Amino acid sequence: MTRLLAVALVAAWALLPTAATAHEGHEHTIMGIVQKTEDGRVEVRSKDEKSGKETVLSIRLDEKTEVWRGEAKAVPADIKTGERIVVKYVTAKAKDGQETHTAKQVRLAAPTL
Amino acid sequence: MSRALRCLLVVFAVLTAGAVAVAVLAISRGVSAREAPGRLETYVARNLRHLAIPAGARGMANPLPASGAVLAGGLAHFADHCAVCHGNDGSGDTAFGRNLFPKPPDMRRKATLGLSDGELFYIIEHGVRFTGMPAFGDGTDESARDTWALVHFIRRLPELTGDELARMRSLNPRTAEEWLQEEEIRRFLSGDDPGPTPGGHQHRNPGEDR
Repeated sequence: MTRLLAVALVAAWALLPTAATAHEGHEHTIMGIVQKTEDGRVEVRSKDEKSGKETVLSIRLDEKTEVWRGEAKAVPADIKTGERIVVKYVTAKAKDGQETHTAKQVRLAAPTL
Repeated sequence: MSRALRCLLVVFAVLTAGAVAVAVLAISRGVSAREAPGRLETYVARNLRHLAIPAGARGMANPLPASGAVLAGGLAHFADHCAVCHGNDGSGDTAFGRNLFPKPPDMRRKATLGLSDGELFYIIEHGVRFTGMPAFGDGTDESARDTWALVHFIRRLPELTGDELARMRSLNPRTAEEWLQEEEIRRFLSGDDPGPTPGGHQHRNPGEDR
């Protein structure tokens, strides 16, 4: 009986989902100017054309984030303060309501000739 | 009560308790597709899929050579048909892929690359029941050629270059809205557009990101 119980417990553990990660939904896009880059993050300042209201969004860059300069692959270190940037990102909301933005794709202007 | 009957009763009780536990778990979690299947479920499902593919199909060899033209055809086909869920790089990290149940596998890993050519062909042609994987084959020679080209391309996924990914991005299907957004991004990055605007919430083909 003890063995059966052990098997049942192992089976129940195995049935549990492998990852209870924060939920990511739709992708968002922000177009703006790089205000700051620091270890694994980029701050993007954007301005609403209609209201003129400025917003600054801090977005995490992880190992899966693709960085493109024009049509060429780049790396996060290539992102420079003050340049134009387009970031496609997802937002995950923790239980405490805290939102985390994670970049899926970063696009930078192609180098000028 | 005989020993055999007692054993049967114990087995029945354990199975019933297990079924109730699974039912309670399923009901308490609802029908959300957000979570990933458990380890046992994944293990059982993968083995059932393996067994469900006829031995003859599993042993089929790819009749196409892995030539540049075949790989280019596979790349274009993958970008157009598969990337929406699997991503251009095969990671499955797309808006659809992340939110399917079960999630598409990272095709650059052993769970996919360890399958035989015949298994990959069979899965693409016939799909996988109870997953998001449709049956793409129609039984024609043309369909089979396209699928075998995809099999060659899938083997190349771990080594895709930046140029190949850029080519795939240009081939990903887009809606009219996505074309407009792409044009807006191009203008913004090139400096034609005077100022930055905050992005909007988008519901678009996520395959083009990869």
